[in-house]
Amino acid sequence: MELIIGGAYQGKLDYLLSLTGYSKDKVLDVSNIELPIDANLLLKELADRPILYQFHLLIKRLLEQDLDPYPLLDQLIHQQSEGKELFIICNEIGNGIVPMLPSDRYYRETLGRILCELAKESKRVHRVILGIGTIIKED
Amino acid sequence: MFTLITGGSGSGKSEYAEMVATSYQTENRIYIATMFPFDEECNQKILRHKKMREAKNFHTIECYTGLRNLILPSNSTVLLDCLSNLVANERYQENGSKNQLVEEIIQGVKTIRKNTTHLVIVTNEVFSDGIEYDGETIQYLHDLGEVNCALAKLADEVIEIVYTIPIFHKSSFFISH
Repeated sequence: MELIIGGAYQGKLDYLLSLTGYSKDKVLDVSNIELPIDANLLLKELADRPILYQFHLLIKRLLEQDLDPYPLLDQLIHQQSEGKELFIICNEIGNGIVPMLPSDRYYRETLGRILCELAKESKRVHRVILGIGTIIKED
Repeated sequence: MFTLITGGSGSGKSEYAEMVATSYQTENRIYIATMFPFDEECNQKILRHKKMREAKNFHTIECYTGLRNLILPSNSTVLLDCLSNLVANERYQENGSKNQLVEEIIQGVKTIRKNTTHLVIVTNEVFSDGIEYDGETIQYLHDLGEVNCALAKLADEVIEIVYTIPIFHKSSFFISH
């Protein structure tokens, strides 16, 4: 598993596509995924399209519906432990003033903790700014 | 050694700071807590941090304002978590130093640094959400940014934590952890 993080509109997807040589048909955009998520279906789709794009929005949708994101997280981590190819692209959203709304605070903090887990499990973590990626972790 | 640690919300910066602080073997290990418990959400956060510190042998001192009045034992490692709370306290609490807060906090840190063996300070990356705030929040960002820059100059090392991964922005020759 590889994690690609960075602020919004920093060219994370383009960076990864040019790095891997993959075309856009390898991208699974989860920003409008139907809820509740069928984890098995998601994992099946990831087998053909291993670039999980807009991961932060997936977590946001789950939290908005009071759904626990951790079972899905466990399955993603399990998937990569079996050696399956997986790239997770996610916005960094934690570098701002504490939001006014409790739900925004909860989303921000929870996504941070989830990314800590994913970063630990990833063999590589890329951070992209201005379209330029830096590998900040490599096992 | 003086280490300044920054990072965003939920990045694991406090846990990393505790790891750095506990890597030092000094007679005393002191934790300066800055979060004022004004509602249940704060209490939950405080509780989470207390749990994380359990069994790490910290003596906790609460300090919401007036850092430079703290009397600390020598031969100690001090962990201060975090500057973003301290700046808010100094600005908004009744006995805070208001417009003198930047100088007050820098002097406070210098005083602690002079009297202790190792100092670890946690601050907060709150500057990149692209939102245009009102005057009060802009002032807060300005103050915290100024404190951060001044302390980064004084620090031996400055580390940004990105989802548990340390990025060294300023390194010391003698890194012991």
